[in-house]
Amino acid sequence: MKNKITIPAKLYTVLIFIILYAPIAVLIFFSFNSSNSTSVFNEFSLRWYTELFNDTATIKALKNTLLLAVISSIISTVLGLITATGLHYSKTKWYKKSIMTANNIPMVNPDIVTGISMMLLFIFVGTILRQSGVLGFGTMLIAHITFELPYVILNILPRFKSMDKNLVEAAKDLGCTPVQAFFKVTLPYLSAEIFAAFVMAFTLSIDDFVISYFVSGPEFQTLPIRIYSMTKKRVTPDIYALSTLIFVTVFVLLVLSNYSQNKQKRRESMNENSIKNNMKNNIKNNMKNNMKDNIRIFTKISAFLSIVLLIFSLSIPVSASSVDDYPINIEYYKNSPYRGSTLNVYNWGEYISDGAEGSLNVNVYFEELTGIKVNYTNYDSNEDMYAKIKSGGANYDLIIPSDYMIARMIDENLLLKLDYANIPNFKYISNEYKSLYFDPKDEYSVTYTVGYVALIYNTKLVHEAPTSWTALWDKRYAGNILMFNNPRDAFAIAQLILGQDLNSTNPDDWQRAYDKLLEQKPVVRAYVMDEIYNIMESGAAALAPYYVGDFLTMQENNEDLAVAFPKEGANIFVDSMCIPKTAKNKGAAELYINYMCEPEISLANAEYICYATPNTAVLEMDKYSFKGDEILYPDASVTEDYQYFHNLPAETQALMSNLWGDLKVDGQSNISTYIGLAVFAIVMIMYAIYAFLKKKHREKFYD
Amino acid sequence: MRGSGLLEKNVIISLKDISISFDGEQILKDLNLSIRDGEFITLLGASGCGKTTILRIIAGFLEPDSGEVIFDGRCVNDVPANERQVNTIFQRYALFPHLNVYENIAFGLRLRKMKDKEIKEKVTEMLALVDLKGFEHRSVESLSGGQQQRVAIARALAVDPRVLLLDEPLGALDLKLRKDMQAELKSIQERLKITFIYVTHDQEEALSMSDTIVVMDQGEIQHIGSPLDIYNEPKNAFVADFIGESNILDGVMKKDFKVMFSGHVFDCVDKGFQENELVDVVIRPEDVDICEPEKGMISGVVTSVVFKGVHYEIIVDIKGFKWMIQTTDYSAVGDNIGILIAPDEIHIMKKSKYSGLYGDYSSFSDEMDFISDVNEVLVDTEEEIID
Repeated sequence: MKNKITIPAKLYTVLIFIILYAPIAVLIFFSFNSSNSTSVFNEFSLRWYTELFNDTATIKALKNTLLLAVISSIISTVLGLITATGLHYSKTKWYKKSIMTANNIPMVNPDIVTGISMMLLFIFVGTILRQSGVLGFGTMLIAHITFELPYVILNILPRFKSMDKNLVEAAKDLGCTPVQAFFKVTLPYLSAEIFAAFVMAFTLSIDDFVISYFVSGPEFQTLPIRIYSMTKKRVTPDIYALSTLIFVTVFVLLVLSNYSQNKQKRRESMNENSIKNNMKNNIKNNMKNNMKDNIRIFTKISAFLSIVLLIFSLSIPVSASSVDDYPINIEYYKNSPYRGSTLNVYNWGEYISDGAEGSLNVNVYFEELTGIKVNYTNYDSNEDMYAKIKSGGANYDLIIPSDYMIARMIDENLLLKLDYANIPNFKYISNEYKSLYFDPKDEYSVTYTVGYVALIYNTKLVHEAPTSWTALWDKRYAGNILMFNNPRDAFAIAQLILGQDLNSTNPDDWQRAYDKLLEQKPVVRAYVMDEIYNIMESGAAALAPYYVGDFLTMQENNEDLAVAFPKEGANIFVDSMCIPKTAKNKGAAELYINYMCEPEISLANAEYICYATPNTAVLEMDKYSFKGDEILYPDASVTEDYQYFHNLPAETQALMSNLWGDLKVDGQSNISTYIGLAVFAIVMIMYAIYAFLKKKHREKFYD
Repeated sequence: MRGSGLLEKNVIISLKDISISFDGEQILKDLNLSIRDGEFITLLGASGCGKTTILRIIAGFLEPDSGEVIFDGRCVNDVPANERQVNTIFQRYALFPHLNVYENIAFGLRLRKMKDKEIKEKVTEMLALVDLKGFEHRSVESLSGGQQQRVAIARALAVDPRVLLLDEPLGALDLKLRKDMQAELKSIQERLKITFIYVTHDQEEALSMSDTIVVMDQGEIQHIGSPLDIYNEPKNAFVADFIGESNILDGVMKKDFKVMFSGHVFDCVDKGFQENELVDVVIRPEDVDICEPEKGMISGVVTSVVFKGVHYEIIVDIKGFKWMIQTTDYSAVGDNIGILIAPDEIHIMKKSKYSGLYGDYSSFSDEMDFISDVNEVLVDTEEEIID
């Protein structure tokens, strides 16, 4: 019989492949881009691959991820094997059944529930043991083993069930003790499944973000958490390079295993010819053999490669670039009494000079200078950081929250007062950024960066420079306008146009701002955050409000972009260094704050982050590439009426969230969603009734 | 009586008052059995009769609730399976799939810490014994069922057991292969002169291979004896029915050598019953001669005739009881025929709990037989798939 593939079938196959592989193709393509844009391809370059191996934080995260994956998957495989063995030999049926049900629940449980409940459990146990800051490698290991275990058991148990129980008896019969029989017969019989379970546990561990996020602590962070926390700035392209490497590794593995499988097949088929007497048996066995060999070969190769990868990543030296040019009072740091201690720093992702592109690795240099070990981990938003601190499960020594969050944390007594005598470099901080509203007496915070919101536009599409936020409502640019996809920033722009206080607690003000945003909705192309980089760099949109520091990054990839300071003013924000109540090493944290205020260190960070620095010494340095930059440091007259966000009272927060929800979900589409759901439910119910009636009808004829 | 044969010479294994139950169901009840060294003994019975349980108790896979297993004069109840001098051939072979033929056979030898050279000699010898030379490096999964069974036999015999336990070893093979393997097993046993304890539900297999047959039902031994013994002198209606075809009738012993059934008093060779004692009478279908109705001892009407090649199998209704008769003489359905039975073809048994359950062919048909066979085959195939 001829088995021709029809054209629609071919098209369908091609389509499926495109859907599956297009994202990876794009990722690989842009990993070779010389610029950091994800929309404009400048020229072929291996820049991001070199960057990757200089990005100590990412490499460390990768190392952590692999370490955690290897250890947790080994332990969970062993535990799973023991459990499966016990379950298999257990004679009590109900017991077996209830264990299996209990085993399956964690798999269907949403990760977020598992993550939160584990975090609570760890903290609770920590409280009982009078230990704060329990979250760390240990808790992550326990959590990973916990969620891997059910999959391991589920992988191994069915093979156990299909095992001829006579096999073990035969082994005993021939002289094996029960233990010998287990190792000589049961284990080899299960080997393919055990390895498959191990590989599965390994990938699950590498993959996991949600659970890891909740149970991670200051000294141990994995790659998924690191990538996720990069959203303050943007995901750096060295992550594309890393993803490409991971993909290629897996791909090569698959090709290799397929190749050896084919070789195997040829050998098997030769065998088959010689045994014609029992064809059916042979074909069945061949299929079984191929499957098993396939798994065996694949798992062997992948185990080997992952070990190589692990060794490789462990052996990458972590070094700082030379800082001979920076005169820092080395003795002061060298002789600190905190040598040998550990400092847990919790910062936004991509918010420090980390050695990429020849920059100074600030943390490594601090470690070399002081002999203090820095555990540097990242968070993605003020709220995430707040939750971690509030839970008390993790002892961070230094955090860098934004203004309104500092206000809230002071209110809730979550911060320690700083001893400014230990921070002599506080003198470099511009008076403009001292005694801010949230810390009027300079007791809790030292400003790290400054930023504000401005109007970014594409000069090719917008011919006269806009002067007002109302440009974002301009029908001429309908469909070419981007808007913040976060309520506070979006409402702020409407409030500015309406001349309101950004921190108003009057519900009417918020309602009016909502109406204003609703009015804008038809001209908005999309509500975005990180995607703004791609859209603006590629010139696909005309106007967007965003943070000025990030505008500079965009402009590197598209020179047509320009920035305007609307006359209504804007939101200004600072991120400041603070020490949380749970800190275990306050002295070292103060030393670190002082170090961060060193002009040379501040300069490195300012160059790297592209946000404005409050450090007056840096502003005067000639080598500072943004010295006198009109965008980062506009005239005081421009920024004088800029407003800070305050921590809003709960009811105002709730109102804002509700209004934002209403705005995003259009009234029309809202109803149609409900109608769609209702129709679906009705169809399902009708089908159930139909099936039930049909069954009843048939049953009538049974007797 | 062999059941209490402890006194007998050459006994290698004896089971004393063995009882065992699973989940409250009594599988064996006060079972006594002795097995002589070097004999081929078969435990025969339908599935669930406890024959495999006996095997597993001897092998050491099961511990009896009560009673003793005596091996070579020593109680081995507490000796684990791996230290007993018995080896088992499993129905599904239980070869180790991760080892090749050579390593499967060498498995037990390696555990005994034998030198590689000795192992090689032994494996080669065993492969020759089961006629599998040249198969050393083959994966066991690439072998046919018969070849796998040979490997299993070689593996078990390699460690020089005193007793070989065979649990329906040929059950998964097709008919022709089964016949060949029967002969081969028998010849291996005769050559090695070790004790074979063979479990089967196939009475033909049991009859053709065994020195001694133990017929079992419901966890109890019904009859122990040589194949001839069991066929010709079944102890009760169950044995008579289970082994071959039988007409089993209710009869009355009039006095020694006189038994009455079907309204006629027959001469027989049995004695020692009470006068007018109710008994079961067994007459094998091939032992009945047919004749003109008026010349017969009794007579009836033929209700079915099936040609079987060597003979006809006819069902005759005599006074409401359907007899099966195997004869080379042809008669047609509806014919009135008489039958003759020689005195030594009549076998008298005492009444037992099986009386009245078997021996009437009123519901007999070839078709029924066929269906029950099919079921057996289906069950086998299913197990194979699960395997």
